[in-house]
Amino acid sequence: MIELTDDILNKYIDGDLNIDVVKQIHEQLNNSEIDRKRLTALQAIHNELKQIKTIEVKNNFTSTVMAKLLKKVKAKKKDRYFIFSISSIFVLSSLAIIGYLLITVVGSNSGGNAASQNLDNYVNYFIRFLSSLKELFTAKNISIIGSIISLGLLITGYFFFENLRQSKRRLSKLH
Amino acid sequence: MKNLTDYEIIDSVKRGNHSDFALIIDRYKNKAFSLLIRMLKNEMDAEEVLQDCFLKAFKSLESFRQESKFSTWFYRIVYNTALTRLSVKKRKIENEMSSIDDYINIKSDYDFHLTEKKDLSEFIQTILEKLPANYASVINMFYLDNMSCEEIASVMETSVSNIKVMLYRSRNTLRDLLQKNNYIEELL
Repeated sequence: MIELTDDILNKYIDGDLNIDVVKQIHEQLNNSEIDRKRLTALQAIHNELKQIKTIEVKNNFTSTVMAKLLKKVKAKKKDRYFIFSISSIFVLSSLAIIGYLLITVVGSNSGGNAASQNLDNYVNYFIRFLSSLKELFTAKNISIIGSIISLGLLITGYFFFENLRQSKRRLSKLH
Repeated sequence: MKNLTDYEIIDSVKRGNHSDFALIIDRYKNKAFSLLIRMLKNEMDAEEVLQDCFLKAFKSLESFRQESKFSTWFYRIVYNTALTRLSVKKRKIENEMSSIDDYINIKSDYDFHLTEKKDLSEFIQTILEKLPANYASVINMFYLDNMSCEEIASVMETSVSNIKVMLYRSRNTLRDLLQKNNYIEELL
């Protein structure tokens, strides 16, 4: 005799029992009307659940999601282009500076001067650079430079906070 | 195009044909929506979360290794996003999952008698709507999506035996409630 618990009946419905146990269950079911009814009720629930329906989402759902998705892809591409162009400008200006320095060095070498003369040239060049910086940072120019730097900071700050705001919005959307 | 497998569509999307993702959306939107409605019990929330899920899936498509079924992978996103939504709403679904006594709670919470007798399928639908999110998910994935207990366990990141326990308890609760509301004779 096997005690037909709900657990065993559920396993029986799902076919999770071995043949020996199934045989015992059949015997028990033949002898007990109550157990037969219990199994039939559970089996009927199982069959009813098989018929639960899919709940359909709105018709325009796919197009709405695709529009959002493609917009994101475009924005991502735009971001990539922006980063690419900024880094290109940076690389190009670095290359220009390096190129200029190389030309200066090569130009000074082509004169056939000695190594000490080269060193003198570099020192002179450095001194000239310092004096031009000194000229640049006169009382007159310092306010202009300050304004330019402030403007740059303001623009950077704006983009930084805008980015932060967008991230926050995205986060709150997720929740 | 409609006969393409999930993997073929994903490959195409990965190659840059982003619009092919619409095929995936069409294929899974209703089933995932059914799962979400049964978990969140709110149509607007379900639709919003579903949109997020598809966007998340698209974003993480590169990380999908095709070692498992796309449906299992996608349902994991859906299930976890819904749980996050629920936890934000402070429904503490995670506590429900680990609690062994919750079956008793289900029974007592939904131990109701209907004042008017409904159609049987309508009655089952009513009870399904009231089931806790994790139980409703198991029923939905098992019966509507024909997923195996192993697949459901993988989606819900729990053991197969846990899934079976939830499945059996849901059936038993349903049977007891039907019995209480004199529907059993109709079934037999």
